[in-house]
Amino acid sequence: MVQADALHCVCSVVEEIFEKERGSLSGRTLLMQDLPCESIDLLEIAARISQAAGREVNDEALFLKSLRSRLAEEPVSEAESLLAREFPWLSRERCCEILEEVRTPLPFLRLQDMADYLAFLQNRKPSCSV
Amino acid sequence: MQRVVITGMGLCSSLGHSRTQVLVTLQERQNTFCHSDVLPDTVVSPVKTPGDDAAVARLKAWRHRRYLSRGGFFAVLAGLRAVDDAHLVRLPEDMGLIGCAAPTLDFSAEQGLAPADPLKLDALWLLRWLPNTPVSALATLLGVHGPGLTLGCACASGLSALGEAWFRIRHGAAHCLLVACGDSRLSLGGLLGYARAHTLSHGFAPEQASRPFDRARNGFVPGEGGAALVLESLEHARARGARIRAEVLGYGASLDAGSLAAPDAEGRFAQWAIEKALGEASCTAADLDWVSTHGTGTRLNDEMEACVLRRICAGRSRFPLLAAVKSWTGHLASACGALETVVCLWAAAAGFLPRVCNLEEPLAADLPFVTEQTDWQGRRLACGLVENFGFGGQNAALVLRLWQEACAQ
Repeated sequence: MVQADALHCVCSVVEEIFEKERGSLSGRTLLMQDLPCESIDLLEIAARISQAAGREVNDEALFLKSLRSRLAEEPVSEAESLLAREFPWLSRERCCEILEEVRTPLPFLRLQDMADYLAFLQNRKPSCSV
Repeated sequence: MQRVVITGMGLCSSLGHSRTQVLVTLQERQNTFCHSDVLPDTVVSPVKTPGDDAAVARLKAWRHRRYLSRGGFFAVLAGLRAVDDAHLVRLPEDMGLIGCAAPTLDFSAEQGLAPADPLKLDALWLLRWLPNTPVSALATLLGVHGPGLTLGCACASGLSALGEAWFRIRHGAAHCLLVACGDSRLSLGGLLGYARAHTLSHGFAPEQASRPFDRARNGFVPGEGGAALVLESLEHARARGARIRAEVLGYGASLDAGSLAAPDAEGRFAQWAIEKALGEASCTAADLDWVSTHGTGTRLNDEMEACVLRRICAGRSRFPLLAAVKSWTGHLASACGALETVVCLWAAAAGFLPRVCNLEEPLAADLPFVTEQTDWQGRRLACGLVENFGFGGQNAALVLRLWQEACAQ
């Protein structure tokens, strides 16, 4: 699955769940901020992306659920290497961006993050999205 | 004990979605029946559109409606309409909800019935099968937090839900309750459930297929839809200046404890439920102006019901008029009691009752069914009985009286 296909898949699923017009969402869309996302939506998104992928996705990874708590457990100096090690589908640029975003308590997950995980899962190689 | 009144009613039905539409359909004798698209030669009475009002807009704006079965959707829509009709501008936060809705048994559209690849199931596909989802959806949409209850009493569910609401308000356990019921089994799975049991009407043109109490009847016609009613204590209704439509006087229920499907041939316990309802209402059959019969059009039910009605009214100077709403709407299964209550109350308030359609040769010539010849001039239609008898030998009956200020004493 190439990057563009993965992003198209994620955007389509999320647009359907939130009854948004086709093409109205992008990789920059913040799932938990820009959309009225509830816990049951996360379940449904994970199920539908699993359908599209033909295999169960790990919702912890798909939604970067443990990222913030993992960062809190490690020294700041280790943050970059932790992200690269435990979230290998995130590009170096995205990792830097996330390290800035997690300074506030606001949710940071973007649809591109989910697409990168999906592509990684399908291809089993690190993302090259920028 | 509290007196219990009805202050709001809502429908989503093949007859229409408002009081005006329903009365026009009844008065103009519009046909609601057609052949099923999914099971050839089977006649059904479908809801072709959900309507086009504020309740529909509200429900369509709620994206979680995907978790409602078709019957659940009808129940919720009817519930929103009933609340609108009751002019409950500010809903009591502790308003309770009692509902009933059954799964559609739709093999093709509803997931989880046939063995499926687990990966193809939505995460929460189960919600469409859980009977309490419509009640939870209504609570969410209305923002009410009182007790919720979902009943499953087969075709007696709607009346049982109304009876339960009546009981709670009468004894002071609640002061305002919404009862919302919906059902749809017009899917292939739903229709096969009845077709394999040989309970469906067959061999008639669509408009002639639902023929309760006619000698040529050979089964019922499945329908679909939803109906809902707001019940309040008289005290609560008066305090908020509510427009009162009717009073619920009494309720009775029973179990045949016999067959899992067929009714008790003599209707002994159906009669028991009716007599219990009359007793609670401090009425006798002589006080009844009309009866909304269960009148399915199956050979067994109608024969049994005619016997029960004859016994109930034996020796009385006057016999109530008999209506059979299923001859207009088909059988709404768990929602039929609520729908038939609303339709009969609306019609009675307008000075008539729906005639029994296709009653060419009544199985009982001595019973006063509503026909085209029924004279409505000066006829009293205040006090009525609604009765339903379901699979599993579940019987329920409700005694009602149209509200007039003279009732207040």
